[in-house]
Amino acid sequence: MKVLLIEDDQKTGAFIVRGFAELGHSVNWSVDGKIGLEVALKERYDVIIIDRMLPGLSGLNIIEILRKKCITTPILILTALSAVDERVEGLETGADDYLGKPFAFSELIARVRALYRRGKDENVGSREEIIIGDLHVNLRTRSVSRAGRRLDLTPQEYRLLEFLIRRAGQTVTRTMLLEGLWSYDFDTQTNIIDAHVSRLRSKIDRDFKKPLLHTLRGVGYVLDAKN
Amino acid sequence: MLRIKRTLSLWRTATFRLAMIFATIFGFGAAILLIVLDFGVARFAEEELHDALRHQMAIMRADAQLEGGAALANILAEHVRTDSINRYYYLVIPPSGEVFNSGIPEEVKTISGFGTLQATASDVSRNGEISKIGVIVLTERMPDGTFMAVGRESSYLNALRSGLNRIAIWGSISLILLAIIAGLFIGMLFLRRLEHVNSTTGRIIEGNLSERLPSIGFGQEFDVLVRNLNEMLDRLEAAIAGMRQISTDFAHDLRGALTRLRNQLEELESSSDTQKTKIESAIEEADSLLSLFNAMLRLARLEAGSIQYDMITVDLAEIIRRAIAAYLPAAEDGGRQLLCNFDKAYPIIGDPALLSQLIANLIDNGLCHTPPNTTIEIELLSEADAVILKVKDDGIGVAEAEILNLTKRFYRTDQSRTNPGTGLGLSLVAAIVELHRAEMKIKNRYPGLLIEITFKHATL
Repeated sequence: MKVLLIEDDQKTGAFIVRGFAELGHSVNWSVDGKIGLEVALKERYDVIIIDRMLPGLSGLNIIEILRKKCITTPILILTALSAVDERVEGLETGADDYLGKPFAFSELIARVRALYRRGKDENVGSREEIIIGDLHVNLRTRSVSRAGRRLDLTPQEYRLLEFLIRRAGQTVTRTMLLEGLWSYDFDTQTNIIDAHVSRLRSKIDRDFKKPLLHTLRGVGYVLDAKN
Repeated sequence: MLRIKRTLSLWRTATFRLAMIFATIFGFGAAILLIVLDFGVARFAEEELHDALRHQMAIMRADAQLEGGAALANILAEHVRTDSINRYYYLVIPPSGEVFNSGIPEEVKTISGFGTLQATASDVSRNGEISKIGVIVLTERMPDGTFMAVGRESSYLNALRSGLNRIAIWGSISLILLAIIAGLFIGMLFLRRLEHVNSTTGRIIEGNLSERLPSIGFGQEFDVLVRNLNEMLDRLEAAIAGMRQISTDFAHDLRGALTRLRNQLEELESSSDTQKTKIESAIEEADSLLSLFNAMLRLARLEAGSIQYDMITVDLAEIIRRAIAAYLPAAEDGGRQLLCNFDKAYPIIGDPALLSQLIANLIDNGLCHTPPNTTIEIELLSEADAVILKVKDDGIGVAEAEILNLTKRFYRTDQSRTNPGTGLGLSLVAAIVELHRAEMKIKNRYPGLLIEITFKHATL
């Protein structure tokens, strides 16, 4: 995965570059908005990570220019301005995801990977059926079956499954689920996601030998046919 | 040490200046009133005099028409001679016969109608002494050529005028003086009372926060002002005491969590192989620290008003339904019931994200601080101009003495001390409630707790 990082904070930038490099991804890092934009226009990247407040040119301006030039590379905004309305503003400008600082590295890498995958298989959205192992999910009729056995899911469970299966093989963090399924961003002291996941797991995994829905402790979940 | 100027000069006080302005306005007003009055009275007296002269002239005219000018002169001469208190002067010049003149000089002939001139009169009361006096005259010429004039002394009119002028001048001066003295007096009185307030303020500035301002007296508006200021001081004092408590509690919480984290890391360092579960529990510890800071930041931003929010019409029922859908599995896993029972919309004016956070915190609170098998019920009631949100549980409730403290930061009841949570949940709820100008009441319902929030109704 080839990533462009436009971030003026030395500490954050170095931390991200090192983290991505350890996972085998190459990162080009620019500390200036104008230079970052030039690089983004010249070369093709899989994902671009942009800070909102930058010297030279603001993150939102860069995104605007890139989108006007029809560059559709997935963009994640990484910023300290993470109030709900700032998030909405960022996404409306053309960013694909938004992560508030401070952030956990696991959260960032999960989101960047999700964007990378979305960029690659763009036909996922239009597909009628997604199959993971012996789990079949029909996106049109919303019917779910595993090993030929029809599974009855509640609407909530189905939404969770659809969210996970569209990102099959990728790590989905709790925050991504909270944002994706309950659209409002609220802090909670209760493990509400875990409870939903365990419901879903009891339906799609309990009576079958091979589990598909895995927990990554401290990070999130992944739906995958591989172990 | 901060020094403040506590002594005020009377001359520079607003009260005194106001009194001076009032004195000036009042004095001028009084002066104008007196002058107008004076003028009016003088005019009235002059009119009276004119009327009297016209009346005399009418009688003379009637006599002259009836009996002729010469006869009139005789009649008048007779009249003047017999009537000792005659106040009029006459002049009759008939076309033939004797002229009658009781003191009006000849130049009166040049006057037509009303006029004034100097007459010589022998004052009977002063032994026939001849004196010059001002006279107002009315003249008329009859068709037969008789010239008639009647006059009356105008000196008493002048006396009246100058008397009135004196009253006007002295009246105005004394009124202005009175107003200034009253202004000074009130200013001094006011200053003395303010002096108390000022010295108290000085002591408060120097750090004695429990001092309260004395009553200024004088009137309701000052008492209301002092009451409001004192109320402000009450709140400030409570807030400062609260802040001190908060810093202590926060440091305490933080130290506990950081010590645990440090111990875990130390253990990891000493163990030869990396133990995954230990790393995970250290991450969990760090996460709970982060959520504590997040909650603090959120609360601080909310209270500082630096959070952007959109007050729009939202359906509270929809927000609650959504929250319950999210929380239901977790509640059931913990052996608790989460119920709501409403099917229509309950529109209020509010920020959707903040209201979601409010509901989330109330449910968190219910799930966190109740024993298993507790039922948490959310009710909505619609009243004429309000929507009432009730969150009730049949858990262990809260000791009556602790209820008021529930919304304080980091406050934990004795029973809940070991429960997870940041100790900020209800503080955040209280801040969101305040932002929505709603009202929150927390009551024991034996068993359990009732949290009631009254929002203003919004019409869709």
